[in-house]
Amino acid sequence: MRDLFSLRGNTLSLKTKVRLLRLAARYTPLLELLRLKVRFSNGYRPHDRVSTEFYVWMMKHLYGSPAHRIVWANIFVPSELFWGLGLIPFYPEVGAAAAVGLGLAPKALEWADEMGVPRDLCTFHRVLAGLAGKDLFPQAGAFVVVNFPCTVAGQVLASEAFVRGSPFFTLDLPSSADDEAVDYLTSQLEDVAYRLAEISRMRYSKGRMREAIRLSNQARAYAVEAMELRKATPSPIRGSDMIGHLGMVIYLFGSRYGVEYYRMLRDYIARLRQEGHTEQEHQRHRLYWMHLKPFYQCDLFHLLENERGGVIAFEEHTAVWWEPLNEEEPFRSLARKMISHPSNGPVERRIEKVLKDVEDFRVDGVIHFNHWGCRQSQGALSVIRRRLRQEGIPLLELDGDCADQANFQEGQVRVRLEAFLESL
Amino acid sequence: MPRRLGYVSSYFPKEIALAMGYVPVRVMPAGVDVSQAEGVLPRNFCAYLKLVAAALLEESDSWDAVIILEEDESHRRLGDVLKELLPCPVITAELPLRTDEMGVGRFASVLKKLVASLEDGADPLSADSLAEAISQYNRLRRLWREARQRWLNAQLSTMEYHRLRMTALTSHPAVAEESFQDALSDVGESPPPSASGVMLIGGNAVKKPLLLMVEDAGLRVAAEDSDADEREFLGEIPIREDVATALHDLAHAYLNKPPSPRLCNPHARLAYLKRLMDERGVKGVVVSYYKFCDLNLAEYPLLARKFREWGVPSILLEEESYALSGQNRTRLEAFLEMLL
Repeated sequence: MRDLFSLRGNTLSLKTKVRLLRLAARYTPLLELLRLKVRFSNGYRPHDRVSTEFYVWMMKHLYGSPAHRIVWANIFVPSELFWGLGLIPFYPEVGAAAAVGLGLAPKALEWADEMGVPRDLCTFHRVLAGLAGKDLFPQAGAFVVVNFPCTVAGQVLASEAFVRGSPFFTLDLPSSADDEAVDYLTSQLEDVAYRLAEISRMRYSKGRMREAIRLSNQARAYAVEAMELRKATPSPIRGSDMIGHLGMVIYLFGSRYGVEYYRMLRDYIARLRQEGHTEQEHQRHRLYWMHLKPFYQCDLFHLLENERGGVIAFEEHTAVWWEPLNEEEPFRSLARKMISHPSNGPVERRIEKVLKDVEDFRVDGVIHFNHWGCRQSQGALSVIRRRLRQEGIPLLELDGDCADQANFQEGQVRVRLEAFLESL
Repeated sequence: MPRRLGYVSSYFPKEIALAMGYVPVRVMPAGVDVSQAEGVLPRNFCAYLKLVAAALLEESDSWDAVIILEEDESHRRLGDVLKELLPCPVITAELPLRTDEMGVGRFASVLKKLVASLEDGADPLSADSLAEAISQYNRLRRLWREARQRWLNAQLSTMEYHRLRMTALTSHPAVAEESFQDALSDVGESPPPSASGVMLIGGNAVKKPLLLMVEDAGLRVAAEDSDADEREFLGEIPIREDVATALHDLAHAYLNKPPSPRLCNPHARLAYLKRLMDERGVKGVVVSYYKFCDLNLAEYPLLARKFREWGVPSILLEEESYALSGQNRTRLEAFLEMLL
């Protein structure tokens, strides 16, 4: 992602960036140039090349394909569903994060204000609403949302679908994980799949869905290996960078790019370990990062990693949490994957996952980034705090905003971060 | 002492609790001290649910059970937090988003599990006790519908109607029935209302200070789209001879009550609001939501856009507490003057 959006930080005006983005999306030779630049330049890691190629492919297809082949979804709807139907998923929340990286957030938030989007909502969704309102996102043939763990996404996308006159489907995610709950979600997934196939005029093909599940499993196997390799001390790669690759977890499972990306990532980490190298030389404290990070430019990670030697050994949201999928029962498998997400259901599930990761990655402390407006990640933070304290695991809660720099108090964050690292 | 069951959601079929020997009490916080809740919930957490938490914690020993239906992620996380703090059982239960037969079936199954969780120390649920509870609430709902009509005809004051509504939601249905009967026996004939009608849109309920301000300005509250009024289920539920069918009926009735923002169904929601506005002659809309209440707030831009298209002025007031802030009071005064 960083390659595609490496326009950030330069002196181009916002207007120019928006124009370039639109041009790039509509005139594929520009995208080709970008792809070639990444492919043949030094300094790009192998998996970065794959992610860039994937995003270039996506831009071409999202802006170049007929609307009925594009489905908007929120990030908790599994991408295998769309790849398996031969459709192109567009996750506008990922689009919003990319726009933040490009420096578009202040303008998008201004547009959202003009549209009357309340300021207390999650800033990702405000950025999303602003960009969608200005027609910067691709067309949509249909919308699919799942109501948990992020409730507001469903509301925002329901309004967007209404305004565009597009079909809108909701998946009702049960919190319990029993067979009855799995049956309930499986039926909904089947129903949505057949209706999407109808809308997109793509005949449902069992073979194609099976292929998507197979690719997802292959990518998963590499991702699990990469996770295992990251347990090493010193930590081979920078976790802060991996949080920026969250889009890969959301988009790639079920596609060929996913297999390639995770294979490259695994090989890269293995090679670093073999050669005795690490991405971060100065490593004093091993940390576990919960929730997301600021997607705009700020000094947070420079301070944490380079100045203070804190290394993010692993992060909550890039983990593989699900069991391998079953090609013969694609919808049931996807239902199980969705239901078993650690952020779904009671907070105990999330706590169990954190405690396991803390042990597996042998971290010294945990940092929870409190993104302004995110109720699902912070609502039960007092329970998480108490449990971690009982286990003797230090926790730092950093208040901030992943999308709106105005809500990020750099001085305060610096003081709190330094105090926390000293206490470790 | 009757056992008190506090519940947080207008989708909870209170007949179940009554049939099991509880007095179901909707948690309707007003002037509570939120400091204890502030300590356990994030700063930017739904201000209404924070008040709910404060109200439950303030009287923590007076509850025998608390039920929270997971209307959204904030409700779910509130349940996680209260489970650690309240001495009584706190039961969280899924609330399906779908209102079709698939969703109803799921909700009936959730209710069956909820009954099992409540059974400890309570009366077992039988077909007879459930039928009796349903029939009691059916009677109360009939009276409530009549009271609403009298209020719309200006035969019952807004404050009186508000009091009756509150009693219906927080007392034993027999007590509420008596209150309604007393109030309805006193009403006389009066000319139909002439003042311009204002529709109030709120989350759980529209605050009393807001109702008072509208009426003090010489306007009439023509409709209240909230979980304590128009979105409260006021229909009839059939009496059945077996528990499973009765639970299915309850699930169907409550899930299919007038549409709330949580359904993510703008078509149904806007059609319902338009019908209400046309039927009641609404000239302006006051939307009053608690801060950080995503479920309601996320819908607002679309509502505002449609109100503009329909030529009906609207205003959004966001509040952190039960009282109206000075700034919102001034904004509201200006808005109401415009409608006069």
